[in-house]
Amino acid sequence: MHIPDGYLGPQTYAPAFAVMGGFWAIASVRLKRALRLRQVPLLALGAAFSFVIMMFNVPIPGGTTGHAVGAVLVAIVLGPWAASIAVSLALILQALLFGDGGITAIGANCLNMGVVMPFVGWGVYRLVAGASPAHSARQWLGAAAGGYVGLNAAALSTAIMFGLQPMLARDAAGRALYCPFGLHIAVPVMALEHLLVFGWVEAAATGLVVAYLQRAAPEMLPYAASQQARFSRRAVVTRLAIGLGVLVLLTPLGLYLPNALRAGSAWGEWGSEEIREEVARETGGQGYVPAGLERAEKAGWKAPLPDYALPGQASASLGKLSFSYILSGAIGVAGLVLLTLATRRAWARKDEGGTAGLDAHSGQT
Amino acid sequence: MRRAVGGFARLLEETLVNERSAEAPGLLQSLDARAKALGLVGLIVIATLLQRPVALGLAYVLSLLLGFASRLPARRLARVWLTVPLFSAAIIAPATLNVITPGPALLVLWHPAHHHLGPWALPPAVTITTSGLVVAGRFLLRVGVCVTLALLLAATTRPDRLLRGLRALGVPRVFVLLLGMMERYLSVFLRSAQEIHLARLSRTARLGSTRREQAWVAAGMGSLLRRTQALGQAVFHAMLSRGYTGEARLLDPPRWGAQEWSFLAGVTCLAAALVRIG
Amino acid sequence: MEAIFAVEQVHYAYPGEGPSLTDISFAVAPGERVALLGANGSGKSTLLHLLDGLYFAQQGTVQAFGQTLNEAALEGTPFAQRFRQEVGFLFQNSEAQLFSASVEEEIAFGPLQAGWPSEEIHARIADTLGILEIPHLRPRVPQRLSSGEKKRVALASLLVMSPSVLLLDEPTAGLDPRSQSLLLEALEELHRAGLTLVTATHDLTLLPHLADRALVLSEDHRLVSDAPAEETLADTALLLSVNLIHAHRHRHGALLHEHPHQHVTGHEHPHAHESDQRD
Repeated sequence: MHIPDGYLGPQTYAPAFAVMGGFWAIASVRLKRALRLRQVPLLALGAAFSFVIMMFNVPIPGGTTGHAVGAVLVAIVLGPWAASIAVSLALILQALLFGDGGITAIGANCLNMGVVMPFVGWGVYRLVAGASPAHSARQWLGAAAGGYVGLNAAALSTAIMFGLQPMLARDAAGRALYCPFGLHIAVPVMALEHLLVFGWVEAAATGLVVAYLQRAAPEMLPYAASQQARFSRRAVVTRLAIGLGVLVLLTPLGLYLPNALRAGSAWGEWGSEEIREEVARETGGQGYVPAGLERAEKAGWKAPLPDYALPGQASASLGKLSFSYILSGAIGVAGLVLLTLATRRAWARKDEGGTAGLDAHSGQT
Repeated sequence: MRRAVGGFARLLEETLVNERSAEAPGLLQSLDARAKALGLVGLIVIATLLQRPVALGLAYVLSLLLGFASRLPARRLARVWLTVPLFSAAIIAPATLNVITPGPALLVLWHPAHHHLGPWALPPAVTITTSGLVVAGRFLLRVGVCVTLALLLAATTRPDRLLRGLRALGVPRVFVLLLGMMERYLSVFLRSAQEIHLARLSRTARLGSTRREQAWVAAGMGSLLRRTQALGQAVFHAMLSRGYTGEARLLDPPRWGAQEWSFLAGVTCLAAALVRIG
Repeated sequence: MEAIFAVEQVHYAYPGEGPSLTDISFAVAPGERVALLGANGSGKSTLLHLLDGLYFAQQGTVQAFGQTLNEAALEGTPFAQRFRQEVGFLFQNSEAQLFSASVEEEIAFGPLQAGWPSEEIHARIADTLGILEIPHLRPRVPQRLSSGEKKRVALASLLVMSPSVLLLDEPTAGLDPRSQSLLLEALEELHRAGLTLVTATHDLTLLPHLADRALVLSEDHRLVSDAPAEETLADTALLLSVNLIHAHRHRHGALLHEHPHQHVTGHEHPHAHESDQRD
């Protein structure tokens, strides 16, 4: 997933550097506060390890091999902030000394593989593994899930960077200056590759190594239960809540953007009226609604909040619709949270037998 | 499995080859790393700004000249095209088609029977367009120039000096310190990783099932991780013992001479000319 | 004169593991040459780390130059700076000890941390390289040197600070015979110049060259002997009990001989026994 020079224009790679600069500054400050002196040699070695991981060929079913990135693995062992620095260092070295990845693209690559991947992957790992003890299956399951989701998140951000190029940079004759494939090509292609193939490689690599560490060196998993967890559960929950709240408030974007860009509904998500319009557009004439579709619509489930709006609001102003959107979002999130809590309570009763009795293995790093 | 060993071996080989070429008595080798980094990275940035293929072609010629002046064999400069530019060519090929880059048709390839391929609309004829060729050609040329310039930097500078030279690009001291240590431990690692692989190879050709192979790779990575931690702890103690207090301090590098200034002046002029052209 | 090191009833265990040192007490006077003897795992390396303020005792105190060594005392204080300059630690593993890009930078590390002006640093580096007879190694990459060269560079990086104490962890491990004898000579000269030496080793052949006094650690992590080196070498029962020498068992017909065997140069192994003739 290393982006070479020439694929991204300065409109993209320069801001990427700016963002990374800020990020590195924050990460260094955080690390200095939390770990004091110890991080310098450990980071350098973590970075070297990260580099080498990218060279291991992981066998996948089908007889071929693939490469892993390993950012989530490093995040599980060192924490996401340290991992972002370690992976950034590895990427910088790869670009400078081995031509793996472009020099102008260093900022962008670090953003994708050094920020998006470890943070998203680590978040998923924490969600799945939670406070489970070091020997629990949830540890390696969480690691594998984190690897898969993290890599795909990075693939998505990379694809977005590619896909934006034709929009951002054209020459006088309107031809694309850098990557010429728009979002509608870049995103599906990269998503398919990584959802179907590379994601599994990453999941395998991350999950298997964590499984090995569970047996051979459980003290290297600092987020397993009974460690002095650097992130208290309350802090995690608060952050999640804030994040969710912000996202809910942002949902009206789904109304404004399509309006501004004059886009229709998502492909395939048409109601009967929209089908009629689509057909009219394609074939000329009045258009029609397929009989079966009409029947299904009449007989089917009537949602309480159709299209996330209050009933009767189908043609209300954008402002009012926005409010309904937010309300729907809040109701949806609340419903999911309750459902998850209920499920977790049922599950926790089975799993948490093993937390008592583990020594505190903190201290060495 | 042999591919993995090959990967490490290739990396070690590359490192060795770079070491040798960095010692040769050439133009770029004689420059201080900071000036070199500034100049060459500056040229790479310029290359990403150029639009006209003519300008890009000139930039490529310039990089070739710099390469020859630094005693880099033509084979090595040419082989660079087989790395990144090769797969870039495969990636960019579809952009020559009118479905990606509309424009005057040059070569008609196919008349599709249907009007749609999934959600995408197909034109009556799929052709290669002149615009498409320009886009693809420019893309490839730019990739080639950047890759060649990057090679010039890596092949004419000792790794530790190169990393130190990043200070001139604004990289903070802590990062330079970290990068330096990392580069040195990399060779230790590469050798251990290679040993792990070779030990494996010498026992059996294939473990059989994918799962066993995966478990083996995982164990290899896992033990490497543990060694990382142990070594990290030991280095930290060594640094503490010699008075490390957390601040990165480096020895003063040598001053720049006429060579460095004239190199940078030359590069700036050429860069300005290139930008003027396109 | 004030003792350089004063260790009082120190206990230490690594987090999550069993004890590494149990109830250790001793003192080291300036100018002494002390050896810490013990089999692998007896805790001698750990003890050196405690003396250098890299680990801190969980019970008991370790004092150096009259100051108790704990985290507060060694965190950016003036004492810390002086302590780091006065005490040099030669690690067993040179890989960890040599972490810089060139020999020159490696040796410059200590002075740089101490904030010396750069002319002085360059002068001192040249001096130290000359003393150890390795000026040709100045621009080399430390990781690529031979083990003997590495040890000398490591020693140089310590000596440039003009320490008064050297802590050495298995200094001759992995060295070829010539490098070994060069190192031992260098250490003897340093001692003559007034340095205090504390060496951890399980190699008894080094004892006469390295120390006048020997502290013996048993396998259950206690200090079982604190005596002059010669006495300790002669005390075979003690050495056997702490696994520093091994015992031979020979069968001669119906008889079973057991006698301790020290691989010390100049020691003869009596092969002939009267019982042999009986067969």
